[in-house]
Amino acid sequence: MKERTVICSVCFNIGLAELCSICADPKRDPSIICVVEDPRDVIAVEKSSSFRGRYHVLGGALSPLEGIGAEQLHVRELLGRVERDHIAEVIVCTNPNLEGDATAMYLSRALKHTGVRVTRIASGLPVGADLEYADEQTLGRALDGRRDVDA
Amino acid sequence: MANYRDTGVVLRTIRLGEADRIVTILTPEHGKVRAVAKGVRKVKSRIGARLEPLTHVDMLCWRGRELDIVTQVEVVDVFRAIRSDLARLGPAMTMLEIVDQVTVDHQGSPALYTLLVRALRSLEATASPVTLAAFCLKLLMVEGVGPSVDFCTHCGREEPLVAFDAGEGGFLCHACRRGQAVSPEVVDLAKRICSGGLARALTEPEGPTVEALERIATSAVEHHLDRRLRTTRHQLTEETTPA
Repeated sequence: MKERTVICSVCFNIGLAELCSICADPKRDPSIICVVEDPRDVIAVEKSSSFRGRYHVLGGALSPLEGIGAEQLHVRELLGRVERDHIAEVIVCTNPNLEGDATAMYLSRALKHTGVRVTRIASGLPVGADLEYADEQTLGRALDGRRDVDA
Repeated sequence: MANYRDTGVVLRTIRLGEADRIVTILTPEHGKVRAVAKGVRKVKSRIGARLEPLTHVDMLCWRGRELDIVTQVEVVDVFRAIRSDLARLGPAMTMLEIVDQVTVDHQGSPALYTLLVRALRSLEATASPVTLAAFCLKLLMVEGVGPSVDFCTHCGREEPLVAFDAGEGGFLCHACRRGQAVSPEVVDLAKRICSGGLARALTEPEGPTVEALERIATSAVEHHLDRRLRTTRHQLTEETTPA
């Protein structure tokens, strides 16, 4: 198994060829990049079937406490892709924790000069959960990110 | 007593197994505690969000043999402004790393805890660029190795101080100078921080004086830890150039 898998040269996802199946798929929108920490996160987002663009796997998140800086991640390559490939939007889909949020802020700053739209995935309550058991941070963020109900 | 309750600041977390984390928390009563937080990486965990680094919590723990187990957590302070500002997050991370490094398990003083909480609250409220330098100097004082700011560390004379050397333990006069050369403004700022003028020192605007003092203060901490700090090596605000 391990012998046949390769890391995609564009998005750093795990695949079976030089270009992973997602980067090679002409039906996927090449102008939107979803930035994730880990190849397992690609699988999670794919399962949602809500995203039809391409991915970029960072290989982790910025973590000053663990000594992980931008140079240990595939940030440089992301900047290269955005500048080269006419990207319209970068969705930062890192974990909603301290490191993931710091990474999102860092990327937004690093991408500012390119003029690309940088978005962050929403944070809120899991579907099917009970409001009364929600923690205050998640609920607070859910309220911050509220949107109009259009019926 | 198998259960105990304490407040504390979460310093760092390490992944454990499938869905757990080991959290390191500095408490006033129990020192630095390492405890397992079960299931916090799952989406439906209630206490996961409360045990992120840089959260001030009130918690209930079960005392274990090696590691304790966190059973209940309430948030005291989340430091939202620090979290949403890279320029403040960096210094805050450095403070957490330093506190983690200067303490060993079950050790740590209430004074250290108070210092950390006050520094974080001040950073949250004012975003002063002096916060990290002030925190380092105060921490060295709390630990009993505060640098001398009023007279030359080497000869003890009250000459104008022109240099700083962490090995000597403070500022030095012209005759004894070694280490890093410093401007009179840097010495003055350090004096204010160490002798009751902290509030006024925190109003100092960003600039070479503040940067120089921060370098000196972190290097003094590194000297006493006998180890380089990780968080100062990767600045969150520095630029990356595309490939």
